[in-house]
Amino acid sequence: MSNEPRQVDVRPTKLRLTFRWTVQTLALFAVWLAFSGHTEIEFLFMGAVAAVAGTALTHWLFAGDQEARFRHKPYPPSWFIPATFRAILYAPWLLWEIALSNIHVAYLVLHPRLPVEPSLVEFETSLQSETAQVLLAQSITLTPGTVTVDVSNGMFMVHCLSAKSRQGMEDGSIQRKVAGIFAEEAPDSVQLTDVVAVEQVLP
Amino acid sequence: MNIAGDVLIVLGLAFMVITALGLVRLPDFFSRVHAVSKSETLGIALLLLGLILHEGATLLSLKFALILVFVAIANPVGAHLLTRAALRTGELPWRKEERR
Repeated sequence: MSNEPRQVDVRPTKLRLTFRWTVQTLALFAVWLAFSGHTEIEFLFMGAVAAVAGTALTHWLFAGDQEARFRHKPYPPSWFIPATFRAILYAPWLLWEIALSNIHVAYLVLHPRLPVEPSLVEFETSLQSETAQVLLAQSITLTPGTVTVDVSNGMFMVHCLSAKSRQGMEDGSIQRKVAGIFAEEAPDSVQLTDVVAVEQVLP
Repeated sequence: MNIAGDVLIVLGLAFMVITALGLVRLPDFFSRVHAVSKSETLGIALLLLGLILHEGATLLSLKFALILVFVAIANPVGAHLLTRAALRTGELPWRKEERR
């Protein structure tokens, strides 16, 4: 297990923080509007207060001293537009994978002999940015028979439900897709290590 | 349109029943999380899509779509947190060789 911290200790600039606050507040306000459906001024005011409060709360909870730092060099603003397009193209593929994973799990559950072969594996990802790692973790959880258990310093721990889902992990197709979105290097295959003892997981 | 909506709702319910069945049948905590985080996501997705088809393009449909997005985000996060908590308290996955 390599435990070299991949930290690039760059604090987000004032501009970047302001941008984050604005985008998050506007998004929350839009959700409020959609759910309430009222456009009277008092409701809009309440929504605005709630949106600001929600943003402040998440920053207080999640953007503490440590989390406010980038573990990865921040992306330039010009990067976001093509990346958004690639992410939108990624969504249908992910939806299809979700459907497949559901059918696979349903098959395993309904099969009279319950042909599960669970295993806990660990691998190191080549993805550098934290956003990419989060997307990879979420995608792994949503695809056939695999759940991400833990992520730290680029080490992923994944629980596989069957031999087939384990094989899907090994060929690294999800990693290639995610790497494509973030324009990062992708591996040809993934080296999986089995986790069998508690000593391997507890610090 | 209504028939398509009904079909989706029934399919969604079927996946939820499979989820419940999986909770009972699967061998350990980790594999049960698989059943909940997957079959349930599709179950709710199909159910809400069916309701959207019934409802047509209204504000209520937009709300259903938003619920869909939030469930799709919250479910894997919940699964991830549950399994991590289990692992950190020393729970290890069941393996086939052990034959409990």
